[in-house]
Amino acid sequence: MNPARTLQTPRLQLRLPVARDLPVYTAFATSARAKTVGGPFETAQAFDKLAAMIGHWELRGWGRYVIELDGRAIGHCGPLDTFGGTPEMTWTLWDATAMGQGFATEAVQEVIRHLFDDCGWSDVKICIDPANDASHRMAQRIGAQAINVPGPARWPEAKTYTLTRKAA
Amino acid sequence: MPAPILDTPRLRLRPHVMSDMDAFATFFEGTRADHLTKPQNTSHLWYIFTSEVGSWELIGIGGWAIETRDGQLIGQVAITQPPHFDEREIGWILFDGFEGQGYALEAATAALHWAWEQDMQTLVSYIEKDNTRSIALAERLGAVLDPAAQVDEDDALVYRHSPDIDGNPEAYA
Repeated sequence: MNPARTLQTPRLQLRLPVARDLPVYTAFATSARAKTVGGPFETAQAFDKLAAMIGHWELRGWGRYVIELDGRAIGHCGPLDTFGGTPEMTWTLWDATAMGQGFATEAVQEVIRHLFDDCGWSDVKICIDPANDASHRMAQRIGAQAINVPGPARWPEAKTYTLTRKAA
Repeated sequence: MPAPILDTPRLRLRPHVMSDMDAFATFFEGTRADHLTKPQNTSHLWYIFTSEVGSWELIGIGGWAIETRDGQLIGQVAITQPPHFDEREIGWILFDGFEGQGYALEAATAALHWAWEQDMQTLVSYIEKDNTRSIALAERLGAVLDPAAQVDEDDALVYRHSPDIDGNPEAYA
């Protein structure tokens, strides 16, 4: 099956990005917290990046979800494929106050379960900034294996992992 | 909402599909893109291209693929306003080999019609000073140079489109 446009976890709703996310996402993307994902970005870049998340869904039929907690957007997660390679699983919490409560893990594990179990995907890769300790711990927690290959062209210094259906 | 389909006598303006990006990559490698902001790498191209798709959902405007009635992709027309643009812009590109046949005029006219139907009051085209062919097209569309309009780049001109001077049905005649 094609990936669902909404998913639900015990505490979170996952859905496509929409216009009302733009100010929340822009606040994150232009802040110092965006350093681990290649930022901080200009406001115009933040627009392009959120619009590109929606465009990815339209063009590929799947993409990244906005994570909602009690109706409030706190981040995004999901698969990204810019050039037709192995899809990359991504996650980012926009809201610093939402960190440390397992929300990203809960959201990503549901997306992975859905992609592997319901949609038959076999593997994803994960690229993480070398200094982003929280994300490295999370990659290990969800069963990803570190591999010694360079990051993508846009981000060669990233540390890469693979997560396969069997390991998840 | 995805881009609405607009039909003209010879063309269809339609939402982009994934395979359109290859044609954009080729276009930006060529000299016909010299007057435009070229993507720095393929990742940048990805964000430029997919943003013009997702822009429809975010702000109700974005890019259309231009194809001939037999399905040949020949370029793009887009109405966009990323946050660093002072105003909504209409822009166009035609791929190599399709210029000189009035296709850009026909496609831009259809997009302008659509904009006026949405009650937009004005649109601008930001055009590099030495991009004579795009300036000629803006003028054929009825746009007028607006020296008072704000523009970020020193070498850009602002041509202003308005519902009462262009995009009217006679442009098809």
